[in-house]
Amino acid sequence: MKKIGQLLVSGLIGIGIGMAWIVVQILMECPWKNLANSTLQLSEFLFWVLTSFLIGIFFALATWIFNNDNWSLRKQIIINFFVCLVAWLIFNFFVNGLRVIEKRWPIVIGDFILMYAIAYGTYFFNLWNDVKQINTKLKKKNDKGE
Amino acid sequence: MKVEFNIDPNLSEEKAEFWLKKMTSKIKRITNELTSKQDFLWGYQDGDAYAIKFSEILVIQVEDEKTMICTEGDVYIFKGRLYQVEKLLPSNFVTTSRSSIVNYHFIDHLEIISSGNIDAILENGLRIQVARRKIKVLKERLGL
Repeated sequence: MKKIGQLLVSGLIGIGIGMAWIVVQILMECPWKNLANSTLQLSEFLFWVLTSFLIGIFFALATWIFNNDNWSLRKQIIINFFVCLVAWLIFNFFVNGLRVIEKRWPIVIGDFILMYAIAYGTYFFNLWNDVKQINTKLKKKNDKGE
Repeated sequence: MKVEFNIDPNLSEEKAEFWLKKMTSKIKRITNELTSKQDFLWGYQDGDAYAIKFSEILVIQVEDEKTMICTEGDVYIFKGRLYQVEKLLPSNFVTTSRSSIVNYHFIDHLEIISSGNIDAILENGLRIQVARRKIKVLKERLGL
């Protein structure tokens, strides 16, 4: 039950990132003057909500790779990165077809790298911050001689 | 949570009473600690048994499928599994990975090493690997 809850939370985080991505896409594609008049079809919006949710869940599943304590972090990141990249390419293949991927592969891979960097960059920044907080607390505790 | 103490040296029996909205793992841990009369573990060395006080234990870890109790100067064998010893320990012991439990009073600092893993450096210089998912638990125990 707890794991299902975690998967749902990851799916919702995926929606958050996906929605931010739509805003970026709209900003890039439409002229800034007409931003207020920009529209998005409901079907397209719902498609993005669903796919963002599924991508979020997939990222949560992929993080299980990180639970393998016998692998170094470097190894975990490399494996996780390529597992996610393959899934992303398959997803793009189903959505856009092979011809689009062939033509736009730098953009498809660039998009993935950017999303990966945002998701895991945030995670590792939080981890680094946690370690920093713990060290500060331990230093205080040791200075007090507790 | 409001905490209230009534200290009376003439009390015939000490007791603690909690007023809670719900039972949490934190309260369960505190309750276990308060009700536990044992403040040591039995460790074995060369066939002899020793009572090792919790306060002297730095780390308990599994090596070659044996559960080892490490103190400042000695290593003892615990006759049981890591999950069994975990239940006996007070809250200053934190499970840092599948193979180790550390007394956080002895942790000097944490270090992110070049491979990206996290090590806890103990006051005697011993390095213990900390799983990233256990960082949250350690934070909680330190009151962060």
